[in-house]
Amino acid sequence: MPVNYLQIQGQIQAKCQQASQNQQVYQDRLEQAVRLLRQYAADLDDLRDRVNEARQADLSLRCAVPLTERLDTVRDAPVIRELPPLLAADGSQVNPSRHDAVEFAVINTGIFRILPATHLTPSEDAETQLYLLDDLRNPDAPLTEEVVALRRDLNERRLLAERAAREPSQPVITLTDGPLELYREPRNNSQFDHLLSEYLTVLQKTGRQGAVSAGYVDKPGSDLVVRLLELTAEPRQPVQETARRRPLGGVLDRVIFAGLLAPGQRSAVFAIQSSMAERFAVYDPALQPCFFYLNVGNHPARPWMARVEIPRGVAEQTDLVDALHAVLLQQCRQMGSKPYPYALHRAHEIALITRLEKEQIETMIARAMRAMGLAVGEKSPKQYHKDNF
Amino acid sequence: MTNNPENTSEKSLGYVVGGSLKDSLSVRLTVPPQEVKEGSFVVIESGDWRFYGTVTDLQLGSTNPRFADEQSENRLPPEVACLLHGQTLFTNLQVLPALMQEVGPDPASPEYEQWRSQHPDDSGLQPQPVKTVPAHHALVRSARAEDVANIFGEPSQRNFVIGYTREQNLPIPLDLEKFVQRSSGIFGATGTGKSFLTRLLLAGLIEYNKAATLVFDMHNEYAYDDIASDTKEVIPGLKSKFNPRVRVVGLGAGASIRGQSPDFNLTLAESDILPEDIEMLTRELNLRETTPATLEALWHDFGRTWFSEFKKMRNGAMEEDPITGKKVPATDSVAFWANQAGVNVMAAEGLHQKLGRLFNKPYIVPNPPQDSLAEIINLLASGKHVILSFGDHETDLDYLLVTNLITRRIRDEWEKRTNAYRSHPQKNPEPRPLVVVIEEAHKLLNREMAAQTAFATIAREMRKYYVTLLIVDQRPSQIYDEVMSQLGTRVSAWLGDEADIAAVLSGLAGRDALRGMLARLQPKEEALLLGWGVSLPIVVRSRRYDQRFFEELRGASPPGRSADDAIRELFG
Amino acid sequence: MTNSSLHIGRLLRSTTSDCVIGCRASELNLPAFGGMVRIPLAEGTQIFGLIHNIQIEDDGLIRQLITSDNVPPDVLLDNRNNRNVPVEIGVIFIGYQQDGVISHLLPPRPPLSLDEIFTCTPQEVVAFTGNGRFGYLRHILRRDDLPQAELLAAHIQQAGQIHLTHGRPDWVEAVTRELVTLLRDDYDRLMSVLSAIGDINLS
Repeated sequence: MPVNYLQIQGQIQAKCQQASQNQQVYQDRLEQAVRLLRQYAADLDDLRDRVNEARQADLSLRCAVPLTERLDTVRDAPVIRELPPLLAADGSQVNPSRHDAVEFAVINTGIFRILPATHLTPSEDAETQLYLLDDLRNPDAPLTEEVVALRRDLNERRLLAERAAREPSQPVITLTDGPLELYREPRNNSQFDHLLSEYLTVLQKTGRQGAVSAGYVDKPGSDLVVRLLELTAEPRQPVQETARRRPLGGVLDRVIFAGLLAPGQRSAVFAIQSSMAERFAVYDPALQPCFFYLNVGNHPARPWMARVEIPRGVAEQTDLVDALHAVLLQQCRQMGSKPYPYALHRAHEIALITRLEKEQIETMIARAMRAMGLAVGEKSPKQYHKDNF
Repeated sequence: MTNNPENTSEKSLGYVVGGSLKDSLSVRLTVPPQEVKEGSFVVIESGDWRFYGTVTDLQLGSTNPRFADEQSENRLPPEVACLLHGQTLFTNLQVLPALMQEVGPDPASPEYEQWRSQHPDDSGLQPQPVKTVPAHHALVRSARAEDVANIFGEPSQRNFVIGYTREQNLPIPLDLEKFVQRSSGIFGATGTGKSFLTRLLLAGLIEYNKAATLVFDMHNEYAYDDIASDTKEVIPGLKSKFNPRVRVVGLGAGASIRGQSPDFNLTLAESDILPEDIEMLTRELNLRETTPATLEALWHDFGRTWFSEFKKMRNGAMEEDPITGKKVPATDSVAFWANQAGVNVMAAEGLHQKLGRLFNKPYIVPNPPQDSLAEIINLLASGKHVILSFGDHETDLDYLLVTNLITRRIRDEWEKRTNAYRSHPQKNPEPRPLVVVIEEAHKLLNREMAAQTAFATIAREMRKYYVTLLIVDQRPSQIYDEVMSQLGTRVSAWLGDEADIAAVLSGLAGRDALRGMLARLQPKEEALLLGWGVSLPIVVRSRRYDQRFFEELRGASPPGRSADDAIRELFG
Repeated sequence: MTNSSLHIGRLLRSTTSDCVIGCRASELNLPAFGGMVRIPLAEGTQIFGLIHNIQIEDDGLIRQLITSDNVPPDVLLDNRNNRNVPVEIGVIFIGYQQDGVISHLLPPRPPLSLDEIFTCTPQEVVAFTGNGRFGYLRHILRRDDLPQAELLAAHIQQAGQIHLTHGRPDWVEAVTRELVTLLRDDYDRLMSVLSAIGDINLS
């Protein structure tokens, strides 16, 4: 039985009608947000105070914190004669599944190194890590999908740190897809703590080498800056109350900055206020996650926002931010109408584990297990039929 | 002929791709068409057999008509186009096979011994008329000198070289022994060198000297030196070259031939003329159908003196009847005789009037000083050759009357001598073979005349009486076909008329194939040899009849074409 | 054509009459359309083939990159040298060699996956194409799906050049003559083959 398009059609109608009614509310909020941004553009200390105040009331507060630049800062793309080398990493994983004949996990991390706009062939590399049998059976540290994801993020950063260390000169940009900040579950167990501290060690190492760590978030859905502005929206109300009521709810940062940033321009650099960000800062203040928005679009009529996360150590060095800004723009422009860093795409391509490859690995494992006299299970009938669909 | 002189390095012309005995063979040409010409003598090697034939046609063909239709040389580089054309466009030869001969395996091969033991001598290995066809893909090559010698014989007095092959200049002889055994013909349109061919052959025959020749030289061409109308060169006369052997007889007393006095003159006695001689002239004299009756009456009344008596009668003479006083035919008038003989007066008078042309001929006299006819016969019988020049008497009437009269006498004489020889071979000598050469033969041998003259009989049956004809003519189609089909050897220069061509080929195998060859001969100096006396039809470039020819004939140098000849041919 | 036998790729898939070779885009300067290759099998057998197709596949990234205003050299090099964009080389088999004896028949069995493919040396080209009576042309002429005229011209150009320097200047003429013989009943095909051969330029 296929999808019931009739039902879908009705639901689409209803929901669009609702949205259209909310449209005016949203428009008002957006205008208010923009107005607030301009109004408080220079009141950086006041804003920081409000954040602190709100933080006191709500430990889980998550919002942007201004650093040194005005809120409405726009920075043109810097002109840099020689772009620094770029190392991009991306990971791909096979999650353990009890439906498979053999339960196993694989993390494949692709590394792509490019010297932008030179006549040198970029290099590529991949590291594959297999988790099997005992790796999966540890009751203290079960290998859940979350853990695999965490380990993948860690691997990306670890490999980048290693590769950055081999670079003859600094700075070098190390880039991953997604935020630097980790917010994987579960956050409160020893396995997570262990992996997080390993992650922070790697980030710290990278920074101390003089390399830039950056996370690239395409089409960001975050409202960190909006939440900061909300804290000013109702001056007569207690901030914690305002934060709860969300007077600017529904407005996204990228919409505000799309109106602000011309192609190639970046926003001010903000720090992130969050519990996880605090753990980063506690480990090393230079690791506190910061971010800026970047319009990677080519055409004034078609802005395209990315959020770029960097550690505070980088955010405080303008030349490094400029280098990053320039490299990311150069990378995105190569992709024509769909801007995205070329190097990240290539790292993803290198890392990607296809279904065929997964089956190949499965076969290799089963063969080896049989050779060792180990019992090999069977694929679940459910999986069997899915595979043959 | 037992060895197989296969020379593998020799280039073949092509290979057999089809055909039949009836329609001649198709040969795919593997050399440029310019290297082969119609009428070429070719040899086909097919296993232990060798076939000899004549190229009768060349045809352009293509494996697919589009290769022929499209000018692919415009689309392709020359070397590629050449390769394409080499395989898709071709020329086929039509070869008329005439002879075949068993040659056996290669003497170097192991099979040869066995074959040789089965054929201990060469008997049975002579060329014979084709009875089968060569195998597919049998190689075809141009005839070599030894092939020509094998088929036509080595040049000698008997094997008289009449010309040379077109491509390789190999001498082609005619076997004169065979030539005189049957009547033969030399044909060709005016100006194609017919009389040169005749001179050549006569020279050959006189030199060979196994047969007497009697030439009715209507236009006084053969006896004395002449100047060629085109090249202004001196054409040697036969009398000049073979003086003691050749006698020139001039027609009429005191005749001179080209300013020269003949050996003697021929005058005919009036008594020599028989009524049938007159009947033969019916058309020439425009005689009525009543003529035979009148002649019969004359013969009845006067016998052998009829001509003299009739001549003496006065036509239309009248006298007064002494009794009645009326005008009546005079007693010496034609009418008088007619009334007496019971012949229609008008008819008799008409005949007398028409015979007036004969009565005035100076060479017809009542009592010739000698019997010149007998003299001619004696000369011929004794091994001399006679050229009868007509001098000033060049009309058809002279020609018809004289040739027929003489020939009749000769026929009678040779018949008599032959019969005598056959009855008593010890007492009587074998008659000397005689060749009677007739120019403008169609005048004597046309359908109407043939029955009335001696020639048809000679052509048909005088072979056994040692007399044959050599017919020289430009309109063979006018000659009675029964005579034509009797001709053994035929030598034909170019002919333009379809009917003439058909007449020359009458009674021969492969007529259709030969027809084109004859039509496409060079207008000068080329001739097609064919017929019973020629082993296979072949086109020759005729030998030049000049001083050099006589030197060669006399054995000064072997026959062959010198560089001078070649240059002269090229640059005229 | 170099004097030594060079590795150009490995076998992706094969049938009794042809195969497809994969090679890296960066190695694509070695194989040439119409070039002769050899595929060594076990036990002294090797298959000879002719390159009839070189196919460069695209993918999403390539399609995306061409929308960019310009493609910088590093990206170009990356795509040529690193990316797993398959270059497929189609080869038809034209004969084989077993224990030193050359045959223009099809090989007894096709090569296996990942078998290595090499270019032929001039000596091998001379030995193979000069052997027998051009029987191998059959394999090309049988394949209506190939650009026969161009393939034959490319092959004749390359092999003809080698024969020219190896003492057989008449080889091109001989092979052209054979083609005329084989195709003379097919006017259109023959003319297109000959036109292509007409464009050959040997130095």
